[in-house]
Amino acid sequence: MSIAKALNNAVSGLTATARGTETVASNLANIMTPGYARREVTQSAQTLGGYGGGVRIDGISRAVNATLVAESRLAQSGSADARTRLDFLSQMGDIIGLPGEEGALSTILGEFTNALQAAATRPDDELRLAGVVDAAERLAGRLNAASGAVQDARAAADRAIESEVATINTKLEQVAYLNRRIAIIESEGNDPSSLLDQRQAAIDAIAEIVPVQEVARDGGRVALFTTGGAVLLDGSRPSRFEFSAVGQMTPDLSVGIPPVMRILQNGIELSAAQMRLFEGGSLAAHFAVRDQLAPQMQMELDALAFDLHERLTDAAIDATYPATAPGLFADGGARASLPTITGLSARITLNPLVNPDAGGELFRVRDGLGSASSGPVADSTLLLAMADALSASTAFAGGAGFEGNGSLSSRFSELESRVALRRVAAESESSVRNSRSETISGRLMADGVDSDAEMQRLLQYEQAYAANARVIQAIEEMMDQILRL
Amino acid sequence: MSVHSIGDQARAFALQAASYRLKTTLATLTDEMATGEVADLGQRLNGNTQVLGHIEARITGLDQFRRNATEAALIVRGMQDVLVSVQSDVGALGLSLVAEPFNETESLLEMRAGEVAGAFETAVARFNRSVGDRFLFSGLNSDMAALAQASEIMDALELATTGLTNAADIAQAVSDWFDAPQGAGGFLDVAYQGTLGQPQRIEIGEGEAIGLSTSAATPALRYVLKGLATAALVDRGVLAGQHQERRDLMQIGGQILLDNNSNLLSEMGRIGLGQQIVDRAQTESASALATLQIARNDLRAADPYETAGALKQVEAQLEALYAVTARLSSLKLVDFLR
Repeated sequence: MSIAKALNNAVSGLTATARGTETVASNLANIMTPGYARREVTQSAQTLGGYGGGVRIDGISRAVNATLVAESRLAQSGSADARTRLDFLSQMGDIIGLPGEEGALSTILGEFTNALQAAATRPDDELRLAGVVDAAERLAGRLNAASGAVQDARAAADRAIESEVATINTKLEQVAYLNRRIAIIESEGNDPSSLLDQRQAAIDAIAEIVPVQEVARDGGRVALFTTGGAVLLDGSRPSRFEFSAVGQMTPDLSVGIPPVMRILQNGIELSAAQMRLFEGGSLAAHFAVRDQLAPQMQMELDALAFDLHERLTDAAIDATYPATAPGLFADGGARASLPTITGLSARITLNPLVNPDAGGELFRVRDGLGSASSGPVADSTLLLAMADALSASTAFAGGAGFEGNGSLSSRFSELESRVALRRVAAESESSVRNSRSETISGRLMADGVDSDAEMQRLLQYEQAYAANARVIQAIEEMMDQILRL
Repeated sequence: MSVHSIGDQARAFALQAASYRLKTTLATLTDEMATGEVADLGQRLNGNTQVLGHIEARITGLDQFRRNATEAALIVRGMQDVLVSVQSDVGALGLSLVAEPFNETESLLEMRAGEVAGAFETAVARFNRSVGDRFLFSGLNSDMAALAQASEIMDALELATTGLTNAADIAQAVSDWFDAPQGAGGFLDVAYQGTLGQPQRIEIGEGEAIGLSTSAATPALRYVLKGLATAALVDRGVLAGQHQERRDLMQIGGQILLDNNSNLLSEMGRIGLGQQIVDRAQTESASALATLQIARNDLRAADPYETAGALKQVEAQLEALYAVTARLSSLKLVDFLR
């Protein structure tokens, strides 16, 4: 019965066009959805016993370029890595400041030197001595604040690691769950496209944190590895990561000494070498901030604080005071020493002997820390000696890579320069990575829904629908003709 | 057959990215235009801010040196003013004391003795002068007048010369009193309230300093007092009734003043040299400051012409982008399918 076959063909055509319009509608509905992969109906001609049996819908395919997705993920992790480092370095740049900026470290030092000079011109003027004390206090306070900011940044990085590890865990669980669901739906012969979209979004979220590689497994499942080679998910159960943040960071806390920790994978703490497998995303960048960049910054600040302290602690400057006691600046009441330099910039304070608020006397700035009573009021010797000590070109014992002879202000500007250099380098790195990531995102989006193309397809479906309907109408007329006989 | 199409999001993304970039540039340029300085100094200097750091440090240092020099100039000027007026007083007085007026009567002598006593008081008051609450001639004790009251000094001298009956002995005793070392109960212990030794140093330029070494105890100044005091003793009534001896005593005082005149002048010369050094340091600082500020501006300043040009360009780009966005948004197949 050919007419019945023709009817069959026409009906299958109607079904196919209906399914087609459905995908068009779905595509258009998701035109703004990020990470949505365009759907297409794949169809082929159906044959029944050597004759045409209409059209068969093979399925719905997601138009997605796997290579591009993988590349986009790598670009994403690269740019997250660079962004995290840049954020930290810009923050440090703001704290250290640039030469000539109000509140920059070197500006405060300049103000202190100037206060000494001004006081040396009129040592009898109490206001100027108070100016010296005030400027010295601000300099110490500024160093304390800078050190505090460095440690805050470390603590923030630590907390960020904790939340990122939590994100990885949830997202891996999601991927594992979706893996199972997709396998089931595929085996039932249904369309898992929306689940694939979800899974892709979940993996994208992980890719920001660590660079991932997706490896296809049977049944539509995927396994996830970091590009370094660490296993995130292979099989049904994802790796379990643990991390707990310290909360308050201090300069003496460093990695390897509890409570500062590395990540635990399935209950075992990773070694420094294993941590390298996770490099390349924001997670590794946070670790770099916490364990390398910020401690280096702290070390440099400590070195400068030590230099400041040493220059004004020289017995040749102030003979009135025991050689073992601290100078104008003290390490929390005592004299600073090289072995305990770590965290000095956080502890350095003005010697209370000269601070009227702490029961000290202003005249000690002029007459020496050990003097019991005011000496000749116009004696500028000590004040000038202190100013000279700050500007003297001396060798440096504090480490942190400060080499050669230099004045204190040249060391301060060296630090500023280092910080600025690091930030500028990070900025150019970040902009390179960003533009790469942008280009790839653009290409990925180009594969997405094109409303014009969808409309064209809709027009085609409309025509096909009308044609198939016309066929049915013709068949009906033919049947009527036969039946009327 | 598969037809390549370009997703709608790609176009929106490209437009958004372009407008973000342009707007960031616009913000940077307007900021630079408004402040006249480059927005990102670190980027401009390629991270090498050390040069700028040195310049800024020197500028703040020189600024302070300039203020120091201004104050030092004030103090030195005050000292010089005092010495000039003392010298003009004393020069004429010394001459008139030494010159023997013809047929001098007792009352004339009394009158001149009174004049000398007044001159002594004036000299003491002048040496006790202060500039902005800083006493000029008391060494490091700048919060105290250099000398005790004139009357106290004269009292001490009177005490030191009691019982002496001729002009030469009295003049010697006065001279001894003035020259006595510290601790011997003479001028340095009774009259002078300042310090000896180390003068106050003021740094007035990079590596330049002046010492304010002139004090009331400096011999040139001290001898002015010695000469005046010797003659002024007559006013206190010593050697009463011995007209010739009193005249001699006044003459000796005048002679001391005359002999000291050249010392006083050379002390003034020394202070004048100090003034000159301060002046020179001020000029040097000012010119160095100008050079440094130019260098700093070279490093910091954003060229307004360049900025304005770039601003114009960004404006044109942004307008073009808006036009393209408007055109593209109406270019949809949907709009034509009616």
